[in-house]
Amino acid sequence: MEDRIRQRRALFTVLQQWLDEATVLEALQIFEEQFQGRPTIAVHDYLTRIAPLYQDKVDAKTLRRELMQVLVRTSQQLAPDPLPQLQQLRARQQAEQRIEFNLQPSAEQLALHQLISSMLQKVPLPQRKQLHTHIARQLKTRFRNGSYDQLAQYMLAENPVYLARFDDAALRDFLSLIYVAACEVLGPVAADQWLGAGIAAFRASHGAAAQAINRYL
Amino acid sequence: MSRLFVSLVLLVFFMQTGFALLESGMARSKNAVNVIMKNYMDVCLGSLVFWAVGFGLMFGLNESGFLGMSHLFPDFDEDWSFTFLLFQTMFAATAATIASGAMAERTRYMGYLVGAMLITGLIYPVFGSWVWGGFFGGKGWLAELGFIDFAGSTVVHSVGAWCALAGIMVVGPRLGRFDPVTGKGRLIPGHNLTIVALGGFILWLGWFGFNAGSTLQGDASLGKIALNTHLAACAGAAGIFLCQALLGRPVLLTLTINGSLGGLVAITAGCATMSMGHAIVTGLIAGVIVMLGTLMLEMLQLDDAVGAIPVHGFAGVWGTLAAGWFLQSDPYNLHNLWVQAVGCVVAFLWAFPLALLVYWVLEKTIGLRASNLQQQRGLDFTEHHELGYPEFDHVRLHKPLAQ
Repeated sequence: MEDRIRQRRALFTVLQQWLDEATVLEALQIFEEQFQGRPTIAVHDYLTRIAPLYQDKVDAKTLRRELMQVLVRTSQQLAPDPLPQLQQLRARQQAEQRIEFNLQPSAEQLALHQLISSMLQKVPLPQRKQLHTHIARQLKTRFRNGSYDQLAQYMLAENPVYLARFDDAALRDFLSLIYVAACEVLGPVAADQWLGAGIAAFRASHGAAAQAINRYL
Repeated sequence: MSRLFVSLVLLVFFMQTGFALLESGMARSKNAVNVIMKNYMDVCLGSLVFWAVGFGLMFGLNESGFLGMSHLFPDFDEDWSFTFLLFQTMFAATAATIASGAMAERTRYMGYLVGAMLITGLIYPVFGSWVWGGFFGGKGWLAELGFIDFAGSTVVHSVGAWCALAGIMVVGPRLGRFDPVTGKGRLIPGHNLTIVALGGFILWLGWFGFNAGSTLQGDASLGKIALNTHLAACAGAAGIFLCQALLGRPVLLTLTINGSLGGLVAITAGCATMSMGHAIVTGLIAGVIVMLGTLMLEMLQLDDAVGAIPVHGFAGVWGTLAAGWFLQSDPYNLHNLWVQAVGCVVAFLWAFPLALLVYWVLEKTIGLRASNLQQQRGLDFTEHHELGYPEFDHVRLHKPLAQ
């Protein structure tokens, strides 16, 4: 328990030098949920995982060195435990999530979901796994502050409710990101054919309602 | 004489059609209009810029040997000068258009055009003044050294190719062009190989005007120049055919055409000063160089959409060296070869870093690389809002045009 608090305080001490409070709390939340209780060496994995949050401000090497130095400091030299702020953030997120799950996806968002779902089903399983990996990697760099988790959840659960909180521009970006991942996994020519065939099939099978996806293309 | 010369100029102008068809055919159908538009505007804007500043910098009074200092916004008393300006304007447009093919399918229209104007108005004419400068007095410093580049293997083609190399380095590869895991290149076939072949033939035809017109006189040497040009093109295609056959690789249309274009680029420097046998050797080796250059760029993960850099850059360097080595009046002279090598290196050191800076600044200011969404939709839709093949293209990756 003591180690856990100490690691959390050390991280807080180091990260707040470069990141704003919201980003620090997001980084700490990832630590709490996925890395706490693991040996100190897991810090390397952790810094890799949160790289999109800090990489434009500081390089990983500096951050790691700083963290190693802070971890051996005495308790008085560390920043106070950020647990209260983390608890507040968690409570706020849970409240937002309750509101979000009351949101219902629009007809256009449902159409987009059907399009994505039908296209992904047409990709052979091994490549679909690769596609998911690439999409997850892209999501981490493009969508921040919790929205990454929502879209990652969408990809896992294939539940259109997760799309409801996003506007047209973000969803257009999301579809484009899937296309980029397809270009990397399937190759550019196959990706064009895959997306083109998916859109054509969707338009053929949904009649007038198929126009709903135009805003995302 | 002037009538003959203007006919040759028209052949050089016709090369723009060849470039447009060749590059457009090698691009995917969703980017066909964009490639054509870039070629078209290269001629329009390039000609205006070259008339306004490029011609003066390149051919104006050049006492220092480094830059022409007269004839900005030129007007002439002598009729011949108008013809000369027209001919040189076509050359300038050719130099600019080389980058359009290499950077095709992922470059924004506006950024590209600004880059093309800077090539035509600054990068090309300044280097040109070192080799061909002094039409109105003085002489370029490379010409003083004895550098030979009869019709522009280096001045036009290599300079254009080094700008293209800088462009593709700044703009990056097309989406998915290289496998992110293995790093190996993926083939992105063009949408219409028939017009690629037509473009290749038109370029070949135009090259007769390009090389023969460079004599600046209508004498009997035209026949030799045209014949050397033709033989080198044939040998270039043969060289690449032999390479592909010996290596057991499929004999690709695009590579074969690039082989003949490589032969044409290579003979451009020495077409007036080489024997026919040497012209054939020059073309044959150029074909091999084009093939090796294409493989090398792919290994380096540099995405040249049409193979412009091996054709115009690498074959251009070889052709320039060959022009010194195979010089009919003084063959196999190491001093000539050394001077030619100096000219090639200077061309690279001038054009590449400057173009890199130009494209980098353009990327940071008005934007050069098309976004993922723009690449997904295709540049025809995003940049021009019209489609090359509205009735036949069934792979639509964007919303309907009406919206």
